[in-house]
Amino acid sequence: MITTKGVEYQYGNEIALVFEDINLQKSDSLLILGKSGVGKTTFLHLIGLLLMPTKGVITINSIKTNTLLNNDLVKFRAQNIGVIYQKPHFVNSLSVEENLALATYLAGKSQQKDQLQSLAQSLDIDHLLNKNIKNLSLGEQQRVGIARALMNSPSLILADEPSSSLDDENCQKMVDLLKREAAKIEANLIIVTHDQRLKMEFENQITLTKN
Amino acid sequence: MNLFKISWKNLTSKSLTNSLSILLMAFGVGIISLILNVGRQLDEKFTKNIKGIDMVVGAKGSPLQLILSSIYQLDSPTGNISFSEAKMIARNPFIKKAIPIAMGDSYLGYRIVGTDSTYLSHYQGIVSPGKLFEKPFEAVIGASIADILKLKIGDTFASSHGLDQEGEKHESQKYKVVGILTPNNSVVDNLIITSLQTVWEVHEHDEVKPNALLLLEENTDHNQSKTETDNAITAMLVKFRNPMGLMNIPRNINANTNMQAALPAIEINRLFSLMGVGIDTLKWLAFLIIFVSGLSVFVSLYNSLKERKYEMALMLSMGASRLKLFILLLLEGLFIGLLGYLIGFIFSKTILFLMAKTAQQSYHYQFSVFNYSFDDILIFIACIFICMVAAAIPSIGIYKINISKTLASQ
Repeated sequence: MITTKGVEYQYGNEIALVFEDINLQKSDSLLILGKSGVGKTTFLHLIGLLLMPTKGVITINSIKTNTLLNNDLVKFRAQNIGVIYQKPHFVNSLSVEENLALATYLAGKSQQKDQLQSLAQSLDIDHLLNKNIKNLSLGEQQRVGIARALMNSPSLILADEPSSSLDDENCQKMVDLLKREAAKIEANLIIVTHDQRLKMEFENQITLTKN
Repeated sequence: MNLFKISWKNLTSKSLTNSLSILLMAFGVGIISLILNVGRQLDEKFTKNIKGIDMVVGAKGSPLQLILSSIYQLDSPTGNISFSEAKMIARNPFIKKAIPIAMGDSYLGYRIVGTDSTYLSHYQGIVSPGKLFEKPFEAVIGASIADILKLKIGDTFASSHGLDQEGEKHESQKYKVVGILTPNNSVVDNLIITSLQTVWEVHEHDEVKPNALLLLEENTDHNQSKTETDNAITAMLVKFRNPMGLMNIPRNINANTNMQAALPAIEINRLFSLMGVGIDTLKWLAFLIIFVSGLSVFVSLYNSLKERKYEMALMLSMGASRLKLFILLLLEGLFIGLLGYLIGFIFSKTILFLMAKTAQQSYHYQFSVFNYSFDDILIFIACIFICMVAAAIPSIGIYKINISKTLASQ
């Protein structure tokens, strides 16, 4: 569950970006559309608690996130939010499996080997687990990125332009996968994109414009 | 999954750069450890053997040579002095102990020293098993000799003239081993010790050989030639009763006799100050290498942090605290320091082992290889400290990373 109210963000002395309020119940998904430069990524980072809004309140799972202090915030973010980045980035010196295990380790949760295994199976990356992350194809890397975001069974999954580097077939696969996995753990799924292909996939959508 | 593992993986994924840092550290550590170890052991041995000897009286020549030959058994002697003249000096009330030694022969490169029982008691040599020499050609041998040459009590051997192995053999008279000394880590471990009488008898025999000059001399002063005054010794080790002896006796000997008096403390100081220049230069060189290694750790971590800025932001977003990542990078420095130290340590011990073998063969001089001294602990601490500082400086950058900006930038 996530609601935002009157959220604004201001970079230095620039005009503040004002964001539409959103209100998602359990398992709801949302597509946020908009052209480049309207603040899509900024909005995603605000919801993902990577940035603090200059004005307004973001409430996740009934917790007003602006009341969380340093370490609590870091912990809350690690345990409740999974982020899929535009270009999948990893810790390059670690293998696929180690990169996945890293997510639970850094979130301070205990390691569960079978959970990792079953997640890898459902994303069809179980045969890649021992490989070096650099030797995977883009599509494979994208799936590992999704797996990593799901490792801690977050209640909120955020994806930043997840389809930008994928062809139509893989794009469709990725959307299906995200929907399926989000439904499995009853998480909210929020995708920001300028990719019109995704428009048909989600009922719930808002479009950001320059204000 | 833990910090050690991540850190180790980061280290091995950049093995070339990190190997260079480790290798540099190893060289620095190896050289310093070697120098300090050898320096300390030489110092210990030199000081131990010098203990209780305030002055050495011998033939004129280089005082350092006299000290090296008569105390450390390293150099060749300066020449002979008359035993009776030496005994005159020994009568001085300021002199507490005077030990005559006579050298000139050796067995398989090990020196034979003719002396009396005071020599052994001075070095606290204990004869066990066996007994002290009594009759001529009875000998007591040092522990290392017994060990290396496999000599037992009752064995006999023929000495050869001179202090190296190529000398002419004195086959006519054979020495008999009557006692073996317990090891005591001083110069006597590598000596064959016998009575003065033995050495004189061996060489008397030589001098009887017909020789035109000798025959001439015999005709002129035949009567004096066979008295006891003929007997020569190589040197006399002297301990004074009190420091007052030091004031006059050496000066007196040097000015008024054809002998010289050398003071071991002064000569050894001189020797060490001569060697010291070289040792200091090497030490500074080694410090420089360690410093460069620290610099290399710094540069490699600085660069890798720039490359891995995104990784760091990613880990921060995934719940890592900045302190945790700071420690992660420090660990990389620590690993480099530890590995560098370990390799350097093994390197220095290997060289020391090879040196010890050579020193044993050519100087009969033992180094202990497997000891861990206070110096080694200091080197360890310095090595780890330098690596940690070199890692800490660039790692402070962790605290400046803007997570959102970094993640959005790519």
